[in-house]
Formats: sequence, C-alpha cells, structure tokens
Amino acid sequence: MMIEIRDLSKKYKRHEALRDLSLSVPEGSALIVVGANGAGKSTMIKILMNLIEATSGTAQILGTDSRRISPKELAQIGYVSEDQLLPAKLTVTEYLDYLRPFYPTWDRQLEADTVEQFRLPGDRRINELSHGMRLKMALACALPYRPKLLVLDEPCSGLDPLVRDEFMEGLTEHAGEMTVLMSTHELSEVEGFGTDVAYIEEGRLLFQESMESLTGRVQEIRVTTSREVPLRRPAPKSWIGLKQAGNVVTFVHREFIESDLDAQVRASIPHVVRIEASPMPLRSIFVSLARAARDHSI
Amino acid sequence: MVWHIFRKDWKLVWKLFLAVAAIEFLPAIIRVKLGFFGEDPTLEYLLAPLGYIVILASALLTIAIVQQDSIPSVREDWLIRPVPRGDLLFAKLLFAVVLVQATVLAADTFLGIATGFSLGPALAAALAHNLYWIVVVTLPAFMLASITRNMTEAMVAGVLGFCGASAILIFAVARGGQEAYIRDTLKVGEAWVAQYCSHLLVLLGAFALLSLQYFRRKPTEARWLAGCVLLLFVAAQQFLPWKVMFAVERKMSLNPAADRSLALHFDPGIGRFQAPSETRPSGGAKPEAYLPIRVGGLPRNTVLNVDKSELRIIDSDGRVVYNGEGDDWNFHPTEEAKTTIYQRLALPASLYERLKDKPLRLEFNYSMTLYRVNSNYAVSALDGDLRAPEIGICKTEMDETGTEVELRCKQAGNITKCQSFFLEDTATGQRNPERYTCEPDYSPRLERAEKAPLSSYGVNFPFRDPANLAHYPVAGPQLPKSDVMMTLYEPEEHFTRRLIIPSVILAEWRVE
Repeated sequence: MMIEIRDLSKKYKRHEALRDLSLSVPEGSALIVVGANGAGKSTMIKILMNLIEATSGTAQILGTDSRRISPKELAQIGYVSEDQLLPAKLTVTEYLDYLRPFYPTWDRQLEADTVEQFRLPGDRRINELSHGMRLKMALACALPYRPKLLVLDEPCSGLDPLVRDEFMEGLTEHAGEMTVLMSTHELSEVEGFGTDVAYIEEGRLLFQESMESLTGRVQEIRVTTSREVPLRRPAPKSWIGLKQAGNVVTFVHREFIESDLDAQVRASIPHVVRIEASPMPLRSIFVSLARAARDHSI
Repeated sequence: MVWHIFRKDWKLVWKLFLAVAAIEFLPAIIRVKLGFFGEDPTLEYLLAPLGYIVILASALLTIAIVQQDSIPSVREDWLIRPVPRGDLLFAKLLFAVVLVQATVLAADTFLGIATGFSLGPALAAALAHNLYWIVVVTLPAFMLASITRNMTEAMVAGVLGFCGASAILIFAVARGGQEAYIRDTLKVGEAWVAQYCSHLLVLLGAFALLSLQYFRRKPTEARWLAGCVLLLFVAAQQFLPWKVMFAVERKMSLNPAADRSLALHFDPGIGRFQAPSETRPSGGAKPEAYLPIRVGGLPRNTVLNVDKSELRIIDSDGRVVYNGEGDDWNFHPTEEAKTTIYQRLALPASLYERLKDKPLRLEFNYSMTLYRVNSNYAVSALDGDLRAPEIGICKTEMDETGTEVELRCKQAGNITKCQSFFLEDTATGQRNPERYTCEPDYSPRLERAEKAPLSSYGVNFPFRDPANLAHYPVAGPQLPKSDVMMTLYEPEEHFTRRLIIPSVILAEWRVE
C-alpha cells in the first residue's frame, strides 16, 4: 500500500475534524477523496504529509509512519495544495532552480515540457502569478522528479473552467504510473480521472470503493404505477431521496442489484407498471449521498 | 545543500540586508563624526534611539531570514520538500552569522580604526561585542522567528515577551524593593555573574528550542519552552542570590590575602559626623545616624569598596529588632592620614523612635572589594593626546566657557571602572582637588567588551570659578605647564568583614 491510514482522529479543542478514519491507497490507483468543505479531507492529507499531528491513530505513507517521514520519502512524493505557500519573491525559474538539487530523479526535459505546457512565465515572480497559475506552478514543481505518489489537496478549488481543464489535462498526461490521492469537494471537476473514490462526511469515512463499483451500485430508479398510491412505509434504507409525483416514484438506490430490483420495488410500492434503472453522473451520486448523510439516512 | 539554501535566502532578502547594514553602520559613522568632544548635540541625541533601531533592524533581518522557511506554518512549500533539516538550520545560522553579525563586526571595527585604534584592538573589541550581540540579539530573534509563522506574529510575540519580562521586573521591584531591580541597571560589580547565567540560559534554550523545531517540528512545545527561557533569563538576571554571585567573585580574587591587615572598628573618639565628608546626609524622610568607623591596615595605593552591607540590630534583651541592609560605601584615602569613614544608618522613622535611646548591638556583615592601583598616566591639560593600552586614547581641551579642562577618553572594549584624576602643575607640584569615580564592574575582560565596541568616559576639571568664590591652586595661567594625572584601579580581592558594635545609642549619632 502506498498509503495506509488506521483509526485516524484529530481533535481541535471540542471539534472533531477526523473520527477513527481508516483508508488505504494501493499502488497504481488514483483515489479521489470526496467530501463537503470542512469534512476533514485536508486535515487527513496534512496529517499524511506530517504537516499536522493526529490526536490518535496511524498514517503510513510509502510504508513509513507519517510522523517520521524523511527527505528520502519526500523525494518520492509530489504535493499540491490549493493553499500552498510558495516563496513569493522568487521567480518561477529561480524556484525550479532551487528545487532541482533536492531531487536525485529530477528530469530537466520533463520540467521544461511541464513549464511549456502550463505556459508558466519563467521570469515572473510567484507573487505576481494568478491563483490558477500558482497552482499550475505547484504542479510543475511536483512532476519533474516523477514522484511515486502524488498528493493533491483540493487542487481545482477556485480555478476557472479553462485553467481547471488545463490543470487536469497536465495532470492526466503526466500522472502515468504514479499513485494519486486527490481530495475535492466537487467531483465533476475530476470526473474520469480516478480509479477509486472515498467519501468523507464530518470526519468519518462513509465508503471507499472503485469508481466502477460505485456507478454500478448507485442508480436512479423510476417506478410508474397504474394509479397514485400511498407507499408502504418504511421504505428500504438503501433507497434515498424518495419522491412521489402523481403515479411516478423516484429514488436513488445505493445498493442496486438488477436481479433483486423488481421484487424489492413491488414489496414497497403497489400497482407497479414499469421499473426503470439508470446510471447517474458521479456528481449526482455524491449530491444524493451527501444529502442522505446529512439527513442521517446513511 | 547549506550553500544552496543560503543563496536562495540571499536572493530573497538582499535588499533588506543592505538597508539593515546601512542602519548598522550609521551609529559608527555618527560616533566618528562626533569625535572625542561631541560638540554636535543633534547627532548626540540621534545616537540613543539609533541604538535601539539597530537592535530592532538586526532582529528583523534575522527573523526575515528564518521565516523564509517558516517552521510552524502548515502551508509552507518547503515542509513537503526533501530539504535536510540540519542543512536548513545551518544555512540560517550561517546567514545570521555571516551577514547580520559580520556587518555589526565590520561597523564596530570601522569605528575602532576611525577613532584611532590599530586593527588588533579594534577587531578584538568588535569580536567581543559580536559575541554579546549573538546572545542578546541574534539568538533570541532566531528563536522568536522559529516559533512564529510570519513577521506580524513575531512582532506580537516580541511585544508580549517584552510585556511579560516587564511584568516580572515590576513584580521584582514590588516584592524586593529597588534592590533586585537595580542589580542590572546600576551595574553592581557582581552583576556579570547573573548576566553570564542568563546568557548561558539563552545558549542552552536556543539549542533545545531550535533542535525541537528544526528536527521534530513541535511548535506548541517550542513556544512553551521559549516562554520558560524568557522567564529564566529575566529571573537569572534579577533573582540570582547575591551570596552565589559574591561566592563566584571571591573564587576569582587575584590576591586572596590582600585584605589580611584590614581592620574595621567603631571609634566614638572620631566624633560626630560633620559634612562635608565621604558620606553626606541624604535629607530623606528616614532618620539618619552616622557611625564613625576607623579603617586600619588598608594597604597603600588601595581603595576599599563595600558591595553590600547587611545589618542586624539586637536590643539589650537579645532580640533581633532589625534585619536589613545598611548603606554601601567606598573608602578612598585621598589624603595620607585619612583613616575614618562614617557608616550611614537610615531606619524607618517608627523603628528609630522606638530604638533611638536604647543601647543596641549592631552587627554589620560587609561584602567588600579591595582595589589596587593598576597604573598612572599623565596627559597635558590642554590639547593633550595620550594613547596607552590600559586607557585607550585620551584627549584634553579647554571648554567653551574657559572655566574647565575637559578630559575625554575612548577605549576599545570596556574601561577600568575605578579611576581618580587631578590637575597638577608639573613645575610646582601644586594640585587641584582629586576626583574619584568608581562604577564597580568585576567581570572578566572578555565580558567587559560586551555592551559597546568602544567605551568612553570623561571628566571635567574646573580651574576657574566665574563667581570668584572658589580658588584653585592650578588655575588658568598654570594650565600650559599642567597635566591631568590619572590613576586606574583594578579589583584585587573580594572578601567579607564583620563589624560588631556591642553597644551604641543611635540618638547620639543622629544627624539632623
């Protein structure tokens, strides 16, 4: 495992930012950690990078306890964060020149390619760059040494669509064999990038699974009945966002199995005429799951 | 990677460095411009605030260097880079030493050479001053910077630290009266022991705190540690027991047997105190008694200084009715025959009223220092220019009003603190009254050069009274063939003496 987190908790006085969170990232995967603002994603990542200390639990990165992370491990980890502070008064070129000697695997050609791709102005000071440019700069500083693990903390936050696409294109192009851990509160921004997804709500991990499995098990169900009928209560717990409009009932099924659907629906809804199941965009899946979590129905 | 990090920091702060270097050189340039007799009051006034500005500017530069790679922040890019922490710390220290300290060193050396000293003494004094600067400015600024995220935080923490230290001092004054507080400000001779302790604490604290921050990155623990270092720093300067300091001083006596023949006796035969004398009634609210003391067996060419006197008063029933401090004094036998001194005794009015007519036993425990003449020098009274290793460079001239001869001296490093001076007509041997000054400072040589690279002092010798009331043996016409005679004293021994007065009636010795 490139990342192994066990029972991680972090308390700020009375506020619990993380609650017994466990999560793992296998080598070669790209895990997208999704959660609302304040869910605990950044706290988890900052603990992983040894920027803050956990209250309890363990976090291992590249097989090393994150509290004992050394330059040897850091030379194999790329990190980009929306709130990363780069040395403001250095120019883009000066900072790349500064970083180069710290990384034995630094590839100057890759550096040049990345700078060109992101159209970074080498002679401009970092504090003169826009937010988007600065994030691209941070990514340009994280790629040339071909890190084994790339950790991205809300990298698309605050980016306009054009810059976001440029950023994601650059990332997709260079990610290659890297293992990636990326946090975001807006899944649509990174759709198509991850192989796995984890969902954090109020410091707790609600699930972690592959994208394929998630889109397969969470589907939108539309049931048409012969006339308007009252639903039999309670509805199964795996049905969320249940709505009825006339003789049409819709809900999101978060444990969808095609072969069981017909029987399940007929047990809860009388006079069923037609049942339709359709896959949902990732964004809609997370909005539904987030709402359900907030309503404590998960 | 040390040099690599150093160069990156240089790119980031070189403008600030140049500004600070200019500020650091400014006092030296002004001092050179003022010369020995400093006749430009505007420049003189500038020097005092400039001293603080230089300290502040150097501290700010140190903080700026350290905070280029801030440690407590969780957003700094360098934290996730494979930057070896030891190299980073070493690079920052190197920057502070090479650029902040070296500028101070260069400015101090320039001042010494421009004043007239050769490179050797000027550089030696500048180096000693540099060591002091490292401990009291650079390292504290370094520690402050390592526990704060940015300049604003550092300034707020600095102000809080200053307020905390001031609160401790106020507490010290409130609890122990002036005694605890004046130890440093009035430079009691032994104060250097407390200062050494506090400096050692800074060094140990810096080692612990920087290790904690750079190698384990524990900002919260480091901040607590910084608070403790500050507390101990102030406490060591203000609360180190006198007896400890004096015990250290005694161990360092150059001639431990020098006091052997010294004897102190209460001698009523001397008679009641008559001003003027070595001590004069202070005119304070407390009733004062002056007890005549005969000083016997004082070796020739010596001065006796009381660093501290403790007093116990016991009544006829054997009860201790007062336990406190007596007045300090120094005994400088300017005249060959002088063997007496008056010990001033100022008691609270109510206590005095209660005890004044009763027979009392007084026990004085003196902590004393014996000074011996170290060297004698003579310099022409008018336009004299004397250069000697012990005194540095001294110059004389007549003041603007034509009533005084001004002597001004500068020394690379600190000066001998006890001196006597008089004007002497070299043809007739006639002398004007002697002036004796003594600010006890028993610190070792290196420490003496700490506070400033150059020490200066001056004495004025009146030779004409415009009101024509006083007449001087050496007056205007004799000045061209007169010299200022200077005698320097060095501490030879630190020792204690006990003086017991078996029975005395205080009222008999009261001076109104």
